[in-house]
Amino acid sequence: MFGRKTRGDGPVPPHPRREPRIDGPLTAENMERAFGGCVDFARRPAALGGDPARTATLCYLSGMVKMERVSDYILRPLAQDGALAACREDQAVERIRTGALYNLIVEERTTADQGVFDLINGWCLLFFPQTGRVLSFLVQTEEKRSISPSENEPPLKGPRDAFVESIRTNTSILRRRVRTPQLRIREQLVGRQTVTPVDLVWVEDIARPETVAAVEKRLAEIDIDGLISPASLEEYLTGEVRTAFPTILSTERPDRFSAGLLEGRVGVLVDGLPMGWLLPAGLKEFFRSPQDKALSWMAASALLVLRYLCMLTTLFLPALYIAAVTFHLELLPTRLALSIVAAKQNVPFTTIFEVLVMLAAFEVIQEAGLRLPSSIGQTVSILGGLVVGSAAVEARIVSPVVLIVVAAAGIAGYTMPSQDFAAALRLWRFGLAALAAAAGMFGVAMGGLLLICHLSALESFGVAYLTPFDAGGAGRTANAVLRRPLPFVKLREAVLRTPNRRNQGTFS
Amino acid sequence: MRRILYLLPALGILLTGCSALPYAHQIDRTALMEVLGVDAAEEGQVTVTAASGPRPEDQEPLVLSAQAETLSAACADMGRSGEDYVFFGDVEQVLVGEEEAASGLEPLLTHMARDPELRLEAELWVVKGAPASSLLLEPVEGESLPDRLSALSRNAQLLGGPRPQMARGALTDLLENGDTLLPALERREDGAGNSVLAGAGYAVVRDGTLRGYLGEEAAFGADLLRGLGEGQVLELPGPGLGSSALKLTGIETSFRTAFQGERLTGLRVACTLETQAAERTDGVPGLGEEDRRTLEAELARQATAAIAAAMAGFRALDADAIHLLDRVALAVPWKTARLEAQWEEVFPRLEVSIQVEATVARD
Repeated sequence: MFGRKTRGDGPVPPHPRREPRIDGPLTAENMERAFGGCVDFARRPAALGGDPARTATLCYLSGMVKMERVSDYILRPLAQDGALAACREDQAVERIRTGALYNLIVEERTTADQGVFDLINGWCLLFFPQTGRVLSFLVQTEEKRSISPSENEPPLKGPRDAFVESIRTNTSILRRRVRTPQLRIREQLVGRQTVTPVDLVWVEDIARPETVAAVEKRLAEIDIDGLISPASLEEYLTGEVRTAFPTILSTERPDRFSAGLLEGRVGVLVDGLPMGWLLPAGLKEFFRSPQDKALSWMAASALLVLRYLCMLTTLFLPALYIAAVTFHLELLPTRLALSIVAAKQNVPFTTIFEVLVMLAAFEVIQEAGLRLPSSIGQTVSILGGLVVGSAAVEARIVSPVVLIVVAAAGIAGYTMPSQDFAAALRLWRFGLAALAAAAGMFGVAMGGLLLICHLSALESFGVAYLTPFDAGGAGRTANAVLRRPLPFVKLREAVLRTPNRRNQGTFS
Repeated sequence: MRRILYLLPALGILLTGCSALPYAHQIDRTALMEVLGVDAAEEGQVTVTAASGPRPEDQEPLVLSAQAETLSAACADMGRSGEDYVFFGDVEQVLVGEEEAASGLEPLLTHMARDPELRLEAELWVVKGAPASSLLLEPVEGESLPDRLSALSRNAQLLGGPRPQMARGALTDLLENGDTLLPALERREDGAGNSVLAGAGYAVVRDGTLRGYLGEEAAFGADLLRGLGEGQVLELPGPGLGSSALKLTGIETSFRTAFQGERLTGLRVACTLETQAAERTDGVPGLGEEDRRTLEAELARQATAAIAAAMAGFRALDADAIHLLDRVALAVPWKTARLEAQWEEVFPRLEVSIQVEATVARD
């Protein structure tokens, strides 16, 4: 299905990497040629020490640099420092490189590729025509969205910050939370066209080195044009494209990300994406919410159990309804069966058709609500859910019981903390309903078996997806379904194979 | 090659029996039957009558009847006659006509055990002196037969009356012991002249066939012998000219055996009844010591008579329908084998002495 060549496409054309990207030397003219026709490319001469005979050329991309910095820390000292005009150009370059200008970071560049990417990343280039040397100054603008609470993982009790689109801001948030010098942040550039910085984050001596190396290798192997959407990273990083279930945990909340790092997981941050990824990630991670550690362990355990029950409800309820009502009436208590019969009177469609159409309608309403501005989205949800739903019931187009079943399944799905996981459940819900429509409980059982087989075949960087439900025993399974009191959780998960499993001292 | 790969799993499914998928039925085109009546018909045939519960939109309950050589065929015939699919999975009460019960319950119980829809949790009733179809085909106006039967079953403990017996229990009894008790039903007139469906004691079944009935007094005795009846309200004459209501709060029945040599010759039944005075009609507040003794004596007398009637009924019908052997054997477990060996022979002639001790607690 995926990755197979179709007959009409012919052979896949080669995709060679062009090295270097920009031919020719690192000169202002070459830079202008590289950005030919770009309105944001700017170039201006700058007289050293105010001497018109001794000029250098400054290049930058407007919008990428902060103009005040260029003016105050580069152009003003260049113009006012008379010593720069009095010495030879190579001496002036050395003087500038060692601090004549007030800029914090200055680097000497030698290749056109370096120059191009410096300009793109908010540096400005100073070309010295006589010596041919080029100095690059970091003067990038810091315009970015301010740190605000996460909308997808709303905090009820706990820190209210969330990742933003700037990767450096995100690493600074992490550094403020995990202050150990053992926190490692290694950067790679991913994407031929986007050249996106991707940071690999882990805590030395806690994360398993083999996992770090595996993630680093996988990142290095990503050879794509652009890393713009989360799926671009997730699908390439995990390599699991034949499943709807996520095998990598994404979060917008730095507290959850930090906790994951301390558990021994490896984190990934991408510039331009306001979220972080944690791996390895098994099934149980997608049931946990950062809120769980903010509540008492009893309340959190009850909520966890509730989420597991909701997972079963959202997955199996429509299928079980179809199977029971259409194939296995004996499963229903008599009074319930009579209620269903009464509700179904004069509805012209079969139960199977009703459920499948209502499931589809539920998705349509949800999708419409998401695509519209929030105020209109709410109106659509109310109109779709309440008005159209009740009108359909009154008009005897849909049985009210089917409406209840589909709504209950849908609402149960919303209890999943991970949207990716909830989306996978929604997809499988359709499949199970279709199997139930074909073969009743036999179909549901086969679907459930298929689902278990599918999940057991998944793994995330060496960790089985169903851990610890696969062979973990009752104790470890209970620990996954419940949240133990934190003082009792003295060891990190064995399955992560961390070099240092102990996570706390003796608590009395 | 790819076609072969697709074919292999399909063959795997078909050849392993997975092709026998269940059939779909639309629930709104399904008649959910709640009561089944089974009667003997002419020439060895059987008549099956089924009634549904309340139907939507105030429709009359559906009653279908069919006659065939076998129960399966009769049930299948009912499905062919109407527009709806007839579903027997909701049958909770099975009525057996007297004639059918007398000819044998084995075909019915076997059918219930084997049929994928009928459940052994359904309760069995024997219709005394009439065919089951008479109750199903001629309902009393305003009476829902399934609801009335459910009420009789539910209220048996509190209001007295024959205890319900599930088909599973009857089948187990018959397989283990050869005898069982089934609740009996009859239509009778109440004080206001209305025809009501009421319990009529127990039907005694031996070797799968109806042997006779225990009347209401004997049925009470059978319950006491089994230690049942707690919660039941009893009405007794006295003290004085009025009458009193006593609520049974405790029943304990034990058995003692008498042997002559190796032979069982007698059985002593000791029954202790604890009751609480609930109401008296003479308007006198409280219950004096004398009144209490009077009531205790009356209760003991009635209970003794009931137990004696039950024992007489069982011995007359030669049916140990309450597994008395097992209860007696508990008293002398080391003689169980000896008891089992002679029980059938001595049971009809067993001398039974009954001792009832009744206490009435002051309210």
